[in-house]
Amino acid sequence: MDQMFTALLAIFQWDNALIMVLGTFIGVVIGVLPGLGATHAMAMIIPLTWKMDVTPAFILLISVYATSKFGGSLTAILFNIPGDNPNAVTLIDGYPMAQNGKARTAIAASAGVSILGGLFSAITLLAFMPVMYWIIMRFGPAEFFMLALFGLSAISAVSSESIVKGLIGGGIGILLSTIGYHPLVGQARFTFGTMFLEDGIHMVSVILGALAVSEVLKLWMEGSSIAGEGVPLSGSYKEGITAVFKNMPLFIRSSLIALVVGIAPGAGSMVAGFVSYASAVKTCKNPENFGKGDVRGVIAGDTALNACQGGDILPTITLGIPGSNAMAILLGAFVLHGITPGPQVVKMKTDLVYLIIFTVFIAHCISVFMAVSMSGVLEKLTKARAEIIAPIIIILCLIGSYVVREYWQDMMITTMFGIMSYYMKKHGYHPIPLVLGIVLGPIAEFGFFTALSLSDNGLWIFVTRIPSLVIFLCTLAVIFWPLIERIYKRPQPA
Amino acid sequence: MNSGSGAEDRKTTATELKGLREELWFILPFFIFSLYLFLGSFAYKVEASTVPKYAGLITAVLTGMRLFYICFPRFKIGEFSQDGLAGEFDDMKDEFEEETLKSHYKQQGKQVTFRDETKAFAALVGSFFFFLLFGYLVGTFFVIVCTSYYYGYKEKRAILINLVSMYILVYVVLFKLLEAPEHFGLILEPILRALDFI
Repeated sequence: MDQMFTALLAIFQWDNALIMVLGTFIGVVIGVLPGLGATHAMAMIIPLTWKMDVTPAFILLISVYATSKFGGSLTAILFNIPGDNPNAVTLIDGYPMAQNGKARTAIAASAGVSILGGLFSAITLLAFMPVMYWIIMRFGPAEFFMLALFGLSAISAVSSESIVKGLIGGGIGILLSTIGYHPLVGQARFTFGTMFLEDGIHMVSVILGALAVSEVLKLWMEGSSIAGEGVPLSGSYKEGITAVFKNMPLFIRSSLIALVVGIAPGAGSMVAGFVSYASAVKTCKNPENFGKGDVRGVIAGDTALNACQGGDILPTITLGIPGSNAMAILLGAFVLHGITPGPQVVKMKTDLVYLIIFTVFIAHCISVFMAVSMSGVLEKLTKARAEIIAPIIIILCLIGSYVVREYWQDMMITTMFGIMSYYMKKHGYHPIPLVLGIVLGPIAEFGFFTALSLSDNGLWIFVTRIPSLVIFLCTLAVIFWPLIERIYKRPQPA
Repeated sequence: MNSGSGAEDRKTTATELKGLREELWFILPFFIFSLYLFLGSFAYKVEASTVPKYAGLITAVLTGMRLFYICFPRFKIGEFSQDGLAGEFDDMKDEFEEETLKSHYKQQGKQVTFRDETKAFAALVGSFFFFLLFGYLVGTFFVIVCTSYYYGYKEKRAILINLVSMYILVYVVLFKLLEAPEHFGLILEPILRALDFI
C-alpha cells in the first residue's frame, strides 16, 4: 500500500507531471503520423531517458506507449488513414460515421473507450499484481532459470509463422548474449581480444536495430501514406459518450477479449482489435449495420486497442516476457536503467510497477483531451512524408545506441540488425524471439548455475521444487501443444 | 486452362525459390555463427561453456536443417511450416480483414522491389557512416539533408523545420541538458582537436 502511495506521489510531483504531459504529447503526435506507432515512439524516446532517473524515465516511456493508439484512431476517423496498423479497425466504422456527419460522435466514442480502456488496463494490472507478487516471492534461482526458458519457448511457440523459426531466432539471441564476460566465473568468451566484445553486445543496440530501424526501412521502401482530404468535424460529442455508456456490455466483452489476446505473447493489439470487432459483429443485434458507420464498431475496436495494454504490460513486467515490439523496447529500457527485467522488477521495484500502472491510466485521460483539442493541428501532421519522418527515427536510434556505452560499434550493431531484421521479418522470422534471447539468456545462465550451486542433487533441483516443475511442464505444453493438437484433430477414417 | 495453371505453378515456385535464396543471406551467417560458438565453447571452463555449447548445438542443427531445405526444397526436411499458437489468432484476424477491411481501406503502401530495398539499405548505411565520420552532433544534419535529397524530397521549408527541431532535440536537450557524451567522429574529431576547439 505504501508503494502505491509513493508511486502516486511521484506522478503528481510537478516535474514528473510535466514529463507525463510531454510524453502524452509525443505519443499522440506519433500516433497521428501515418505508419508510426508505439514501437517507433518508444525507440525514439530511449535516448532521452538515458540520463534520467528511473521514475521520470518510465513515466515518459509509458505515457508515450499508452497514448499513441488514440492519436491513430483520430486520423482513422477523420482521414481514413490509420496512424498505426492496429488503428485500421477504427476506420471500418469510424470513417463512414464521419462521412455521415457524425465525426464528433465517433471521436467521442473512441475517446470514451480510450479512457475506460486505460482504466480497465490499470485495474487489470492492479488486480493481478498481488497474485503475481505472492507467486514471485516464492521463486528462487531454479524458477528464474525455468521462467527464462518458458519465456523463450512461449514466444517461439506462439509466434504465428513457425515455431522452429522462432526457436532459431531465440537461439541466436542466446548465443549473442554469451559474448563477453561470464557473470560467475569472469572468463571472456568469443571476444577476439577486442574491448568492445569483452563488454558483450548491448541489448539496447540490438533492440533498436531489430525493432525500430527495420520498421523505418519499410517506411522508406513503401513511402508514406499521404492523407487525402479530411471530413469536417460535425455531430455531437455528447452522443458518442452516451453511446459508450449504453453499450457497456460490449465494452466489457471487448475488454476481456483484449486482455486474453494481450497476455498471449506475439498476438498484439491489431489482433485484439480485429478479434473484438469480429466478436461484436457476431453477437450484437443488427449486424448488417457494422461497416456502415455503426458506433458499436468504433467502441468494440478501440476498446480492444486500449484495454489490451494491461495484458501486454503484465507478462512484461512480472515475467520478463514481452507481448509486443513496444514491450520488448520496454525490457531494453529496464536494462538501460540497471534493472533486471522479469520477476526481479516485482520483487525489488514494486513502486515502479505501481508507477507504470497509474501512468497508463492518467496518460490515457490526458491524451484524450489533448488530441481532441488539437485535432486541427494534428490534421497537418497526417500529411508528413516518410522522407522527413524516417531520418528522425534513424538519428535517434543511432544516438540511442551510441550514448549507452560510447562505442561506435554499437551504432554498427544497430545498423546491421536493422537490415537483418528486415529480411528476417520478410521470411517469417519474427525478431522478438531474438531480442528475448538476448534479454533472457544471461538471466537463464545466471539462474541455472546459481541453482546448481545451491542444489544437493544436481539437476534434480529443477524438477523437485514445485514452482519450477510447474513452469517446466508449462514450457513442454507450450512447445508440444501444436503437435498434440494436430494428432488430436487428425481426421478419422470413414 | 491447364497450361495457364501450370504456368502459374511454375511462377509460384520461381517466387518461392527466389525467397529461399534471399533467406540464405541470413541463414548461412546464422549457421556459421552458431557452429562457431558451439565449437569455440569447448575452449572455456564448464560454467562458461555450457550455454554456448547447447544453444550453439541446437541452433546449428536447426539452421543446418533450414539450409538443407533451401538447397534441396523437394526433400521437405527443414521446411518448418508448423504454425505457432498465435497463428490461430492471426488466421481469425486475416479472415476478418479480408472480408471487411478491404472494402473500406486500401493499403497505400506500394509493392516493394529489390531496388527499393537496396536504396533504403544504402540510406541507412550512409546514415551510419555520417555518424561514424562526423559524430552525431554534426552527422544529424548530414543525415537529414542527404537522405531527403537522396529520396528526391527537396522541399526546403520542411527540411529546415526538421533541421531546427533536430538541433533543439539533439544539441540542446540531449547534449547540453542531458549531458550526452561528446562525439565528433573519425574525421571531425582530429580536425577540431588540432584547431583547439575541443
